[in-house]
Amino acid sequence: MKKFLMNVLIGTAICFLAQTYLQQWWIFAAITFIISLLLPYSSGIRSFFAGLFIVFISWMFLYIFRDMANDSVMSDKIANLFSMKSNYLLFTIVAFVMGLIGGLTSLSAYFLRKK
Amino acid sequence: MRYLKSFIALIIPIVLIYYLNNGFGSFPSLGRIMDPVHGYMANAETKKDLGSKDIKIGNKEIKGNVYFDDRLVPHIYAENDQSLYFLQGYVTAQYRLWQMDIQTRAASGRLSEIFGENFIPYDLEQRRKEMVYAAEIAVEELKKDPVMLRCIQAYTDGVNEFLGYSGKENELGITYAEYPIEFKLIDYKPEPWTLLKTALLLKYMANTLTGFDDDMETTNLLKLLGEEDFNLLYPDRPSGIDPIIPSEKKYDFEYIQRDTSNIIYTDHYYKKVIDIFETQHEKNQVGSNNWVVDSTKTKNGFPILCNDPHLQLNLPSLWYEVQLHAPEVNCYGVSLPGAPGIVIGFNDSIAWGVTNAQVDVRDWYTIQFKDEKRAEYKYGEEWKKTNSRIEIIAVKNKEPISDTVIYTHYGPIVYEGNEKFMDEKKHPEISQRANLAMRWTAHLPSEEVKTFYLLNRAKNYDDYRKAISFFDCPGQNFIFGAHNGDIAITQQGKFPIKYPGQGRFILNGSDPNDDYKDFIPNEQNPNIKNPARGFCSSANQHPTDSTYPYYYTSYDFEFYRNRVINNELTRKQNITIEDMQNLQQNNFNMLASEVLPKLISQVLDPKLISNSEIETYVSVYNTLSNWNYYNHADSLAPTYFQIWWDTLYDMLWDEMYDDEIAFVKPNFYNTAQAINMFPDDYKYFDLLKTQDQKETLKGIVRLSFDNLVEIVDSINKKDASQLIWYLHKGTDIMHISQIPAFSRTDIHNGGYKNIVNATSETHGPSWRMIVELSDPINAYGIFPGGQSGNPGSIYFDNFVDTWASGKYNYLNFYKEESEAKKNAKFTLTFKG
Repeated sequence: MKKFLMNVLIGTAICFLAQTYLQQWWIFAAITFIISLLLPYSSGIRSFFAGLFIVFISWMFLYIFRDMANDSVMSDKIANLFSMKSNYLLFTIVAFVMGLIGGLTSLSAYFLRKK
Repeated sequence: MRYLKSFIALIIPIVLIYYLNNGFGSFPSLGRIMDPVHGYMANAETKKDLGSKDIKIGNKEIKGNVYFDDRLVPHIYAENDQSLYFLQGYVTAQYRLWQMDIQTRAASGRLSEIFGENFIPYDLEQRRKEMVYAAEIAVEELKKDPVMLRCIQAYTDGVNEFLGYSGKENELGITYAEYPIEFKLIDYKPEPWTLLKTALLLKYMANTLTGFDDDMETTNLLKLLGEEDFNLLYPDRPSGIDPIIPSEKKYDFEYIQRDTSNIIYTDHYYKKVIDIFETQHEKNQVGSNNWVVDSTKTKNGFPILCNDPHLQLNLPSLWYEVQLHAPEVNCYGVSLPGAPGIVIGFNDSIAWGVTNAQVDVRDWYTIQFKDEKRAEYKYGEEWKKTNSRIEIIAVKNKEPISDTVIYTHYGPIVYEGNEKFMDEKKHPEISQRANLAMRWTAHLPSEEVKTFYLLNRAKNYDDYRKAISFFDCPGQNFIFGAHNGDIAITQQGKFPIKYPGQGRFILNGSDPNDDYKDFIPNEQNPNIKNPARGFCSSANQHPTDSTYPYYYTSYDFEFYRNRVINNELTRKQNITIEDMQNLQQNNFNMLASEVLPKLISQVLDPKLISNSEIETYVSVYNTLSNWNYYNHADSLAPTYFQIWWDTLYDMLWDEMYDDEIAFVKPNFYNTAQAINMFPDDYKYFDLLKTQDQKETLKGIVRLSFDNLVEIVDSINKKDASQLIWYLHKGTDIMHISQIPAFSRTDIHNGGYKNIVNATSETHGPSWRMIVELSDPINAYGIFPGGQSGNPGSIYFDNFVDTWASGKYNYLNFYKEESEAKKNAKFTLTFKG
């Protein structure tokens, strides 16, 4: 469990930085894959959820930081554009979908390593 | 087995990422848009984005500071003219890049390229009108004028500096994260700016203001009604008009004569082309007010100049507020993103403004080709050669399409006699082979930018007259006021000298007598300086009384706003800025005041009806009877009147409507005159659909009133608030791309078309300006939008509520750079 939390923490930090400084929006999927490969999880379920958490948390942080500095002027309009009731609902849905992608690549790396 | 599991777990995210990255169907790249760093959140403006910055420029000549005040208005202080326009281009691009792109794309017919095949008809229309050709001619003309070329080139360089344009084709330094949000949502890239794009923008405005006529409609009407009825219902110059130039003006110059010709009657109808020429809907919508009162009429003893152009209200706003300061110029006002200089504004010595001349400068000629090749056409006794130009239209996700446009000396053939424009089964008499060439003064070489360049620097009346002499199209009423006390107005444009009736109807292209000969010399355009009545004004009405020696016509002169303004200005003395604000917000519905008493008198008085079920009837009747004719936002009466008027108008002139044939109904002014003065049983009052019955005015008025009561009843049952004027009218300030999330709807504001506060569903006062020519200048202004074009900024629409409530911003016009610096929220420092 400690290792799981450690991985999530490290992964989230790396993901946060990578999304900030690299242009590729999908870079998180590569990160969760590599972390799962280098710092293996004890079960498939753990690898999946670690990937999901890493992406979900880092994306939510990234959204909320910028959003607070902007008083939600932009995100409210985009949420409206995509027919969502609130900007936080939009953040959550997107971060969750990206989390699923991250969870799956993490899981993929777990299977790859498992003997 | 584990490899298979691993593969399955990997393939799902990869497929998802692929589609999120590349888009699917009409969806753009959602992955990139949702990227919390480079996607839409990159457009979420923060304090950091509004901070001071030093910007290093490759060009050593460029030097200056841009001070943004607390409304985000840039005050540009540059060391020379070149730097001034460079910086204007830079900051305009910084805040309005997407708007600059989409407007020039729309002008040049390149929307299909980004929106797909639905926009092909629109693009074809723009290509057929030869907007690009017109802009190319303007650029050629510009290249002959080194001063103007340098100014526009500097502006272009400024825009490209912001874009990080390397000089190589379409290679820009600006990254995806820095793109305006619309580029991300529509999924395309910005392009480098060019001289041609600035020219295109100006042609776009020319098209907005002069790109329509009703020549086909009137030609058809002449056939339908005959000359006598046509002239009665569609007079060029009805009685009771109040022209721009008061009758004290004597036209004692030697005018240029021309031969007349006979108006030809068509033996067939022209089919409606309204769906192809979408800009038709601008008709009856664009307009403007401007006026200036001299020092004898004002409380403080300085002239006051006012202007409010009525254009389509959009976000981002059409206008960008700016102060321009360089050694030889210091002026303030609104600019058009994409063009250097200030269009409406003031400097230390003068103020100026514009309204649309509304004079018809677009005509159609029937062309008779020698044969199928369309290489020659008849002109008098000879055959003239045509030219042609192939237009390629790129279409998103589809093959490009091409269109060959044939040119005559009149202009491009817009309509060819092809089956697209006719339906023989239903209307065998519809014109079968009408090849129509469009003649439009926007196609002539001209240099409108120069007018603004010179006006920005003008010191007195002579400078003003010289400046506007370069303005050919769109014809405008340039109003002028000076600190020294002079006031003036001039209708300026390049207007062809026409024989009476020429250009009202479709002309015969093979008859040289129907051709244009000369243009009215600039000094003979309608104008007046310091009139005895102490004010000048215009609101798109007839420019002159009947003593003006040249013939002109219009598809839509105004008859109401002008009279309200002139009545008020005549009556008022000791005028203050507040009086002028009230006049710009004036909601008096003069049409209603002139027609409603007669209409009410025709309706059955509810006192004579004993039926108790007529609650709505009574309330509508009483509300209208007691109305003071003001279209205030929260009133019910304007809603009742408008519903009634719209129904009645269509019933009265049902003869002048057909699904297929182009017709236009008599305008409101002539309709009101017909209602008030024509006999009750005038033949066209009859309803066509009731064949065995003959309706009189009284019958139609009652029928339409009953219809009104029914409508009011049904709205009441659903949602009674929808009867409140501002909600019924529904003024929406839509985002240019029609994205509702970026728009402001149901604006709380009164007024309507033909009212001084001309706020309709989609159009309205796009910039209200009031300038007292004191020292220092005392000026106010407001536009319904904001300085930033970014929906992620609070400055995107922060003026909307102020505008809607009838308030103004005080305009900070600084003399010294130190003042601008002191009041700056942040500064951009440019160094070469």
